Amino acid sequence: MQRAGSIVLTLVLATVITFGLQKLVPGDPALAIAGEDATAQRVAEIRADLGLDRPFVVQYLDWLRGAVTGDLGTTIRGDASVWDLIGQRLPATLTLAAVALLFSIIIGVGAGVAAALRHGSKADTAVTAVATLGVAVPNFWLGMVIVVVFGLTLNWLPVSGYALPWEDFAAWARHVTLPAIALGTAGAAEIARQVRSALVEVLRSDFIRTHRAKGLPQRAVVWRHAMKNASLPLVTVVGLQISHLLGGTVVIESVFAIPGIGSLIVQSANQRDYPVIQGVVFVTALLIILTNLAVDLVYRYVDPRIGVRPARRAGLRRAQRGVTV
Amino acid sequence: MSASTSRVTGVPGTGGLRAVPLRLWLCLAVLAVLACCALLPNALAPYDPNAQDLGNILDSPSSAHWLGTDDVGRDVLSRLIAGTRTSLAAGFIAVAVSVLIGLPVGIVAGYFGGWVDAVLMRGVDAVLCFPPLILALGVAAAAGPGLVNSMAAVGIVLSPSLARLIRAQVLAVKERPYVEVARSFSCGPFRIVFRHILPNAMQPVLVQAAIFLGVALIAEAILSFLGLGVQPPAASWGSMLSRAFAFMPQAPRLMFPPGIAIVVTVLVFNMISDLAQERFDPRARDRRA
Repeated sequence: MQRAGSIVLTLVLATVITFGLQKLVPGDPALAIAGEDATAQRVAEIRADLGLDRPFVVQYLDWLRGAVTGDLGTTIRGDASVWDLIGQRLPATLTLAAVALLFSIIIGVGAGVAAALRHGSKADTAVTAVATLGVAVPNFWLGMVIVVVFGLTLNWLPVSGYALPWEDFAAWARHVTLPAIALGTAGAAEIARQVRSALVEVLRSDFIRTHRAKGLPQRAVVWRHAMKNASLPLVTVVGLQISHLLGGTVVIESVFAIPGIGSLIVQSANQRDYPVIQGVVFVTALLIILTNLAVDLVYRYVDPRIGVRPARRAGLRRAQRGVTV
Repeated sequence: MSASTSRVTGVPGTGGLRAVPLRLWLCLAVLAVLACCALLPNALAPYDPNAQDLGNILDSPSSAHWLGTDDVGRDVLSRLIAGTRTSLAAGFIAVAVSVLIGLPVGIVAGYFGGWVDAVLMRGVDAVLCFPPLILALGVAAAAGPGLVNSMAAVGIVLSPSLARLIRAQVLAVKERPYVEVARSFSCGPFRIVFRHILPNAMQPVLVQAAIFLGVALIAEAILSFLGLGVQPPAASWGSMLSRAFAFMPQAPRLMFPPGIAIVVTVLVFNMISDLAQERFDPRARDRRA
């Protein structure tokens, strides 16, 4: 119950921040729309049309009512509904982020486990070094390198455009591979680091020695017992990756010309189309709040001893480690 | 301090310069190069970074232009050197903003606790539920493009993590006996926080600040790449990548100098943070070994 209240409060604060963004705009949006030579009367009319002459709280509550009922307004030119625009573009972003997440988990867990099992060996050093490098490489630069190498030079896969899996699966698979690798590499590196250090610690513990002593095969020791105990940090880092992936789509979609909400917010930012920016910011915040909730539920599944506290622990861990853009 | 015992680990060390790990030497060397480029760009750059030479556009590297020229014939090496100052400044602005916001929030929440803590932490949670880049983009778009605006936006986005970290530190340190002693001597909260708690709570914050520098550097690159950061013709590593992207089919090599500069710099900041953490917390070193 307390958790639900806290989520609602966070959500409300998130909408205040989202709405407050437009108040940062220097100057008067009505003046910007009307143009510099407009009469004062015309500017006042536009201001009244946009509802900008009302108090901030009234404007906010009005926007909130719209947001809750699925009406995020129209673009600044008034030619399309923000919700429709986001609805059209969200599937591309979500499918791309999902593949990138899958890529990070498979590569990250695989590399992390391999390194932890060969703790101190050359393979371990190599994985650690590559993971350290992977965290430092900006995803869009990696995307550019991938475009040049695999797209323009080797011509293996397309480097621009997108298709949706339920429309043309083969085309989607071709289009999603390279951007998903560019987007997921940093996550794979972070997951590998976390899994490695968690697993190294678990493998040293007494109960693992007991399992080994009673003759359990290595595979069972690692995957059934050790990984279960090392999966708490894994769940945390995967939850964080979802936030990073959604943020990362902004620039990866621009590099690979993918029509998702990431490229939508970039276009809107350059055109100063605030209703669209607000809409995208709001929808992504909503997605992340849902992700955090899911992560909390998974925590309880992974470790039944945990009550409401993991949210706090997850937050702390996030504060200490998982900050990237 | 030869044949001494390490203060941190209690393990006998060789002491002196030899005790400094190779990684630290590497980091210091890179930092020295970066500092020279940032402080003396005009002395090091062979050309004016903004001087166009339309007769020599997209030239390959040569003895005249070591890293070639860009799409309007500007010397890439000179722009790389000039961009060092902008990119590092961007990182420092973002970290400064995040500390200016995160430090007071974290201290107040951690020290006073109760409802003050609850309210501040809900606010922190609310900011944390935005993908940092998307929120930074929103702030930068609203406040207008430019280095300071976009980096202030990044600083705002990074500050909640710092606030949480500082809060956790303050919570831990304020229970220590020496703080209780200070309180029993009727020290005011201001004096307790600044004289007794903060000096003992800052180590992880410094480690985090080094990581943030790397994060902010990448954020600068992304925002400038998207046209919201540094505005042309000023050179930054991000704005160079943005131009390189536009001319990728003709001259893919243009993206390597700024890209590699970013990767190396971020790597160095991350390594410094790791080294600092090992120094402050010997257990981290044991885990690594």
